[in-house]
Amino acid sequence: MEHTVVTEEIKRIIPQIWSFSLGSELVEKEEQSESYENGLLGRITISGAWEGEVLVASSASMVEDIARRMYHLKDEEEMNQEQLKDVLREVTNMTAGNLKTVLPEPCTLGIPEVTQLSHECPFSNITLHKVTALHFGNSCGCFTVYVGKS
Amino acid sequence: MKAMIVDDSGATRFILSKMMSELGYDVVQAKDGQDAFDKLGDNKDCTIALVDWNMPVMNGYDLVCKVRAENEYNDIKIMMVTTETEMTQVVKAIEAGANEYIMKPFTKEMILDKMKLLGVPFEE
Repeated sequence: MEHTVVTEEIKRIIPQIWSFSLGSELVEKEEQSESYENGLLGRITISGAWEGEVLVASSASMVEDIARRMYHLKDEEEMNQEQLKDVLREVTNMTAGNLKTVLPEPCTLGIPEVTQLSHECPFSNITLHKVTALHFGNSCGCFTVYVGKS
Repeated sequence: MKAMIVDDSGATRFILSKMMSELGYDVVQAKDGQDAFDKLGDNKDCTIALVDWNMPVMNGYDLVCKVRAENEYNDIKIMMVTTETEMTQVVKAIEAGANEYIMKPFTKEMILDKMKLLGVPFEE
């Protein structure tokens, strides 16, 4: 039951974030279609009646596309690492905030943190109990949402 | 017309600032609640403040409480623009003095609809 509810909410919210905030489209994929090496990992805790974390991994090319769209940067304009981390932090925050609507109340969101990924399997060292993991992608790269309980 | 954008995300401040500029507003940006409260002293003529909830240093709810404790800011409309979605939290923000509430992600049309509800001016 929890798996279904959480999965359906992630399937709803991720394309909506792309549509509303980025003016772009993203579709669900069967599997991770690109390496996450040199990508970014966003992580946020949810505590209270439901205890766990939401993690979002993005390929380097995807997070660059998110930043270009959010900051309205042209192809030739440079972006810095802080802009890349900032946009993934905000996408992580929006994902967890909306997911919270289908979780038991009351729950509190932590402050999202973003780190650089140095290997292809971003969730290999996670000690959470997996609730769901969904892959998304478009021509710019791929993006995975992992939800786990503490 | 002047608007204050309060959000710890530089990208969201950029997006909201662009939207509000297109609606005819001069924009003041703040990266958290404390930064916003410090800047309000020099910007008492703000028509509207768009305020995130989940921020370091001082969150949006605490900012609303602080602003509404000062009579000189009574005319500023406050719209929470946030991922904080629990109904109890929405009610808490409204009771503290927020005038409207909108969930992220948002579109320009959604912001505009809320501004119309608040009766604040804008240029089309």
